[in-house]
Amino acid sequence: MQWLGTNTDVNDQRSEKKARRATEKQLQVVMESMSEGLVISDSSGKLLHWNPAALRMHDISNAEEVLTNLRSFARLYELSTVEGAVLPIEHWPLARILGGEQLHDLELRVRRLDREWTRIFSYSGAILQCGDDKDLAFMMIKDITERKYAEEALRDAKVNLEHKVNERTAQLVAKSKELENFCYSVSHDLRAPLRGIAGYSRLLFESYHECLDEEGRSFLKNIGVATTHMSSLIEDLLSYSKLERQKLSTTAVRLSSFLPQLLDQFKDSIENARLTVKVDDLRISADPDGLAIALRNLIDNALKFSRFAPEPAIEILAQPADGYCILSVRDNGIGFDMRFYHKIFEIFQRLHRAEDYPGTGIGLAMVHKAMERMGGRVWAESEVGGGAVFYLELPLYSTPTAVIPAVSASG
Amino acid sequence: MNTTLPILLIEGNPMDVDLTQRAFIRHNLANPLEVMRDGQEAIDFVAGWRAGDPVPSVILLDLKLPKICGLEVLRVIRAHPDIGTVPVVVLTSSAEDDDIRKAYLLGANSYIVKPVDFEKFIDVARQIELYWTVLNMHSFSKPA
Repeated sequence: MQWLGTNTDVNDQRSEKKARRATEKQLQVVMESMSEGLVISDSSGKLLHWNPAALRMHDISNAEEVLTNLRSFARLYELSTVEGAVLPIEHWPLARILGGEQLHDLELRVRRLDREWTRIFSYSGAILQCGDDKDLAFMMIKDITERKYAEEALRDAKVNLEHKVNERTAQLVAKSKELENFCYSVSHDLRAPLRGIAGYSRLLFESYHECLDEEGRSFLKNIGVATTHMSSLIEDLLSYSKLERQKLSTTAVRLSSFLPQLLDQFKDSIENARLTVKVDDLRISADPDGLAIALRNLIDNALKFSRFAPEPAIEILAQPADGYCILSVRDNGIGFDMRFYHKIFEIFQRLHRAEDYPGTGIGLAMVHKAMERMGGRVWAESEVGGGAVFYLELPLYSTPTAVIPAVSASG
Repeated sequence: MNTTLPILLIEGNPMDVDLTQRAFIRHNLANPLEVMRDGQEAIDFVAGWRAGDPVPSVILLDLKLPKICGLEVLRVIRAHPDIGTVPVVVLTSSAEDDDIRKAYLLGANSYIVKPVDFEKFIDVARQIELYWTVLNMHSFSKPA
């Protein structure tokens, strides 16, 4: 039994040894082909093994140079945090592993003192118990320099971009504020001298018209016409600048009640025109004041440019289309040449003679501005003599689903 | 009735002063129109007022004044224990929401935008005179 047993033991030991050797061989192949660096030390800190990747990463070409302990290592390398704080040797990854810590992707800067390079490595590792009660420290090293630099560059670029965007936005906001204020104060300050001109020409006419001949009186009359025109220019400019500065807030606007109210303001001027309104019970998302400004100007225009038509007709339609509502205002007036289309929404642009169709050239610019401020669109189609149709596009109002439980909960 | 008490006009623009005077003269106004040309003059008037001095029936106040702005003048008027009760009508070119709001917060009784058209201006003068000097009861007026 004894012999047999011994024989078995010897056989077992042999095959065990063989197996271990095979495993060691496999391990060595793996270690040598790894792209990560691997350093193994014993529990005293004596460096036992470097794989080729670890040597390459540390710029060690000659295996003979291989440093045998941390102290000797510290003469050639300096380790610091990514932020740049130099680490004392007790805080080096291997020292920490030997102290019992498990490291997982600890990122550090490594500087080779004699060759002046710095790279960023990521360290992982732990103490593993290997047979014979021997504790070994395993440390895996990844070179993450490129990734880190790319990340840094990206972060810098982002910060820079954000900074630049903020700076530009601030400049633009300031500039636009300045322009708005300029527009406002100019129009506002023009009122006072205009009141003087209007007042004194009126007084002159009243008190001295007998001293003037027909021509003199017609001069005064023209001054009156000019001041009235200038006064409406100033008022329109002020409304335009107010529209720019005012905060618009969109809410649900029910067209079937909004439009009749709006059209009521036109009931005197609209008398001569045939008006058709076809609006389903649509709710759109708009600022009521902004929408009123846009529609009022379009209806004003439709009335103005169709007033010499044999039978002036104006048609207002609202149609849903793919989450939006398209409101159209059509007239059968003189229309305009589509060649000048690009000009019609610009401020102070006029396509018709002032004596035929008086106006300030601000109306359509107001429509455009109001739609822009509400996040909508305006466009038009026309041909000379064939009337014109203006379209306003605004989102249909959809009840925000999240609001419903909140409302019923509070109610 | 305050028909003989003066109307105080605080107005910086000389042309507006003249036009306002002419607009009031149209109605052969019983109340004399006293004029102050800038904010400092108005504040000095309030500070120097003593019991027994004539009290305006209404103060017409422009907001855009030389030296000290109209809103500041309004604040000083309202802080005065006696003059502080006089009605103040803001008469200005500004139709800015912000100016209107501030003026009322500081205790303006009315806010009127000066019309450009002279006919309308005359009408404004007539209505101011009728309402503030004839109909309106003043804290200084003694019942007849």
